[in-house]
Amino acid sequence: MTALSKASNRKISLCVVILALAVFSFAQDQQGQESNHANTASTACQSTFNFGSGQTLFNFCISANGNLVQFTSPEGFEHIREGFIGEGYGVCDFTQKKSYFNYAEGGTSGNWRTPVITQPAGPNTFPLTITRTTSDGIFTLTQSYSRNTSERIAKIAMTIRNNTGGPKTVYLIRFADIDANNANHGNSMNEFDFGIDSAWGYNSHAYGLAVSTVPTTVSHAGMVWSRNDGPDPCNPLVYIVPTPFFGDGSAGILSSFGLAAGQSKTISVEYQRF
Amino acid sequence: MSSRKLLLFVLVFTLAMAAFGQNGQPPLITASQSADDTCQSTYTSGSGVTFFRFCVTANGNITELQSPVGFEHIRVGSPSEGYGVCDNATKVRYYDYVGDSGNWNDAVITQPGGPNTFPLKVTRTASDGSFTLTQAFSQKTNERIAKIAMTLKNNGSSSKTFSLVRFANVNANNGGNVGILNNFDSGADAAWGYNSVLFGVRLSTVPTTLEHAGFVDMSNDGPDPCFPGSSSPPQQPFYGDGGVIMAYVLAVPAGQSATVNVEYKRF
Repeated sequence: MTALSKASNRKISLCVVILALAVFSFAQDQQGQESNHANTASTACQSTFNFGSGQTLFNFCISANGNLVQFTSPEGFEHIREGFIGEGYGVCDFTQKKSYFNYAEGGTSGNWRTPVITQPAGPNTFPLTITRTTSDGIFTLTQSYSRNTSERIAKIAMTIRNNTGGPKTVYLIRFADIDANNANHGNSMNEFDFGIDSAWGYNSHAYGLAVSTVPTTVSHAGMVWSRNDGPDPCNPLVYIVPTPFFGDGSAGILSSFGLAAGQSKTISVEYQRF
Repeated sequence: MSSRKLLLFVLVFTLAMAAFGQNGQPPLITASQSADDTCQSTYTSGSGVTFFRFCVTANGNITELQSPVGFEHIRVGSPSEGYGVCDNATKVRYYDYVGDSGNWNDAVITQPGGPNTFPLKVTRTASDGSFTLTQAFSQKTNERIAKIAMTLKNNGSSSKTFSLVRFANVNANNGGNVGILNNFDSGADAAWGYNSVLFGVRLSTVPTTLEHAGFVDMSNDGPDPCFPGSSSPPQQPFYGDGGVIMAYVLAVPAGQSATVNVEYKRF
C-alpha cells in the first residue's frame, strides 16, 4: 500500500468514524423520545417509468410524495413493492433536534406540507420534480428524478434548502426497505452490506438493488438496518447491524452537512439493479 | 424468467460446466507464456472522490482500476485480470489472465488516436485459428465504469459452442485491511468484491438473453474457462483472497460472431 493510499484510507476511515460518532452522540441525547410516525403514507404511483422487456426490463414508479415505491428489473423481479413498502427521505434538524421523514409505509413524521409536483408533460414523463416544505417552514426539499436505462439506474437529486435566518446542521437520509427478488420468493430474507458510497440488498445467484451516492465531498456513509421501517433521521444508528447481514433489513445513505441561512445543498443518490 | 427458473438455470449451468470439466482434458492452467501487466493505455478522470483510473494492457487485460484516489482494486501485488475461452467441441482452453495459455497469436491493437485514447480494440486469434476474440474498451466516467465489448467469431466451417469468461482477481481497497482479504458474492448478472465500510468493484454483464452467470472464484489465479464454477466457495458471501467471474455460453454458427458486454464498476 502506498503512503498516499494509506493516508486516503485513514482520512476516509476518520470521516466515517467522525460521522458515526457524531450521530451516535446525538442519538444518546434522543433516547426515549417517542416516534412521531403518522399514518399519511401513500404507495400509489404518481408516475411510472417503464423500459425494456425480459432481461432488459427496468420499471420504477414514484409516488406523489416522492417515494420510489416500485423497482422491477429484470422482468418478474420486484425489489421494493413487496408487502410492507418502505422508501423515501428523512431530514434531521440537528440544531433543533427535530425529525422530518416520509418513508411511505416505512413511516411518516406528519410534519410536511402537501407536495408540489412539477412535471410539464404530465404523469409518467420527465422532467419530474417534487417539492415539499416542512410544516414549520424551516426546510424545503426538492427532489428531481431521472434515469439511466442502460445501467438500470433511477436517480434522485435531493436539494434541501434552509429557509431560516440562521445556520443549520442537517442529516439527510435516503432509505429503502429492499425486498430483493420478490422478497426472496416471499420470505423477505436478503443479504445486506454497505460501503462508504453505497448500501445494498440481494440474494446470491439472483439479483440485488443498491442505493449509492454520486461521489461527493459531503460527509456520508452507507447504512444497513435490521428493520424494514425507516430510521429516525436524528437517531439513525439505533437499528444498524453488523454486516454482512441476512434478514428482512433495509439500506440507505446518510449525509451530514451544514447549511447557512438561505443556503441549499444537493445530494444525488441512485438506485441500481445489479 | 422466474426466480425458480433462474436458480435452476444457474444450477444447470454450474453442473454442466462441472460435468464438462470432468470429461474434458486437464486444464492448461499451468504454463504462462506471457505475463505482461504493463499498461498500454491508461484512462484517468476526476480527482479526489470522483477519481477514476483504469488501464489496459496490449493483450487486453485491465491491470489497474483505482477509484477514488488512493484506492486501487486490481493492481495489488501481481495483477490478474482477463478472458478465457473454452471450445466445447475440441475441449481446448484458451485464456489470458495476465499470464496466458500459450495458444494465442499476438494481439492486434486498433487505436486510431494512439495510446490512452478511445476507441481501443484489441483483437486476438487462437493459434489454431479456430476463433478470433475482439475486445472493444470504453468508459462511463460518471458511473465509474470500464466497459468491455467482447466479440467472439467462430472461424471454423461448422457451428460451435464456446464458453467465454471474464475474470478479475479483485483486491479491493488496496487489498483490504488485513492481508488481501475482501468480501465476495455473485448474482445472475454480476460478481463483486469489497470491504464493508469501504469500496468495492463489481463485474457485471449488460443484460443479455445469452446464457450467463456470475461466479466467485476462491482462487486468485483465474478460472478454467471450461469449468468457471469449479473454484466457487461452498458458501457465499465469501471472505478471502478471491476473484470475480462472468461466464457465458455462446453457440456460434460457422463464420459468425457473438458479442457480450461486461462492465467493471467501482461502488
